[in-house]
Amino acid sequence: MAWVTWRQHRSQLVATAGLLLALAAAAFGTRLPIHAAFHRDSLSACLPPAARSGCDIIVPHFEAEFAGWVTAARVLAVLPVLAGLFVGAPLLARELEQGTYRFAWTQGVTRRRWLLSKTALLAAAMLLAGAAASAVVMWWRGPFDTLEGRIGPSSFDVEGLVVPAYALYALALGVLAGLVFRRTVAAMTSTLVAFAATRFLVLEFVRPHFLTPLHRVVLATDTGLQPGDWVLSNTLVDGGGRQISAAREDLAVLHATQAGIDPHTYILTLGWKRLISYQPAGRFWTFQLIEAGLFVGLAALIVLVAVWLVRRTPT
Amino acid sequence: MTEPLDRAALLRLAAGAAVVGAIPDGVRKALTVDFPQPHPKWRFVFVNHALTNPFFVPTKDGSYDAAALLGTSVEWTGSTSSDVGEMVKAMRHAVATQADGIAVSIVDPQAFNGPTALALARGIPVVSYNADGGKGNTRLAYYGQDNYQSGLELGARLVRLVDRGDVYLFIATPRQQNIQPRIDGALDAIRDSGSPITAHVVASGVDVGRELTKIEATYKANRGLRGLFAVDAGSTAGVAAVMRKHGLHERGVKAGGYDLLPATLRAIHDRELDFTIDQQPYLQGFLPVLQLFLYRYSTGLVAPADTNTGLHFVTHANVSRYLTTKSRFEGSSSREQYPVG
Repeated sequence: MAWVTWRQHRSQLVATAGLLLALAAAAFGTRLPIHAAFHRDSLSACLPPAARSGCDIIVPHFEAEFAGWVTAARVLAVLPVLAGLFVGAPLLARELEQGTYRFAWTQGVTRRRWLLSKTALLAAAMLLAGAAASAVVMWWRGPFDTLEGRIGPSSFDVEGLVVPAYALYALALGVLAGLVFRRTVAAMTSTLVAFAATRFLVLEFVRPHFLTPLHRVVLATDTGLQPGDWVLSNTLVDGGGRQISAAREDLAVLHATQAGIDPHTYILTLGWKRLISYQPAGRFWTFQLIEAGLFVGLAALIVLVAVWLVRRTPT
Repeated sequence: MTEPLDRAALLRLAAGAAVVGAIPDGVRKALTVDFPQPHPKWRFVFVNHALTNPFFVPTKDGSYDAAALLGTSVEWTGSTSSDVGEMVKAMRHAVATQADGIAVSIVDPQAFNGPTALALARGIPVVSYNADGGKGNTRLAYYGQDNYQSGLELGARLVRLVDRGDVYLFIATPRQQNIQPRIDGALDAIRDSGSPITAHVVASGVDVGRELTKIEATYKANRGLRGLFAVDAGSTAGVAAVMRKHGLHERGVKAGGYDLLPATLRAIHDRELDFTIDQQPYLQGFLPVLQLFLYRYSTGLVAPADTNTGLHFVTHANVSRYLTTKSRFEGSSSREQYPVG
């Protein structure tokens, strides 16, 4: 089966390897100036708790200098879904579309074993590719992660264990979609939609609650942000603990302005506070394990459904 | 009242000092700058809304001190009961008798616009002090507290003292432009805070005895109240008296207000009141005279400029300095004395 799998999917696997090489080359080429700037500005001395003076200027300057590259790196979050679109979706859809499944499924190997073997081999390849891409991104983002932490979505989604897990999940989705829709393009489209929807739902509604968020109450004029933490909510509350709407805040600022008082001082004297819910930076690997486990579990479930369905597909 | 030092007096002083080998720096400077040169003894008129209110004792002292320093004269006129008609009449009389400058507490949004325009048209500079509520009034400058600002700060402090419940805010004369903005500011701050505080505004009147009666009646009708606050000197003293009489501070009732009447300061010392707001009444008298003088002395080249006389919270932590210091600056003494004490 390994030989058959290689023969049928060698173009995708070669493309994957090529993509990885391109990613590594780009990372190597762009990391040098980032690394140089990080050390030139002694940014490691800006890490809490012993941040030196001037960091409030130096750090934003460093971040602004490479903001374009960091934004571009976020695009890498789409890499895992390529496994579903170009490897998973065609796996069954192309056989069914072209009718070659009749030949494939009437050989000595059972359908179940045929599907499981191919899926497992491709999954191993995608896991490997995902892990490699993740390692490259982590290496490249090192200076930024040092300053900003990595539990926030912009870095969490492209680093660590979740990248290969996403790839595995996308692959499984593609396989199932191919079996259900029997058309490659339809399978690719539905894979893309289902993958994006799952990622969105997990990010917005599940991940923030992997572990109970921590809460911090700070002065109303404090930003309340600590480098590295993932801030889930940042709410202004009055002395009674009720949330203050933007309109109420605007009105208070207007009153302070009319009175010639500094609005920040006025808000402080009113006893307003800022209530911050957050996931601390130290939970990064725990969250990675949980989310990777979740997507691997979903992938396994989808593959089981695909195996169950393929056995019932008439030849 | 101390007479101003003329040049001859300064020379005599310098000569005397030379005998003992020391010429004070201030005298040396005065001898070299020749200020002020001989000038007419200008007459500045203060039009006031509460002539007998003890709050204005240091204001008057400030005006007299500035007049003595600069060689001018000061007259105080107006009303004892915030009667705007009386005040307008007094101001028109000052214009008719060719006063050299007028300082008026503009306690009404419209009534002083006409007399101000008339005075300015006749070349008499007009400034406002203590109250500056004229809408479209063309006075040259204002010397006093920003009353809305002080009300807002009072409200913010009230919110920190009283976390919930009913509070009563006493105002001697609602809509009067020196104290209504304080109520407005306090109510805005209470609303901004979002605290479950219900504020009730009560007109206490200008008569001190009636103010006390009204405040006490308010307490007796609302024994569950959590705070008593006032935005004028008389009402604040009334609040202090009611707090003391009924031992309200021990029952958790919070209280505060304005100005530095002796009864108010004693109540703060005895923890019957939580705070009062000092708005520098002395400066409200001194600065108008100083700037009207400069206007006249420079033939209008030095135009009067607004001065916010500030906002200082007097609490138990800092009241002792007010109580132990007898001075013209806070109205606790009529004596000229340096250093004060």
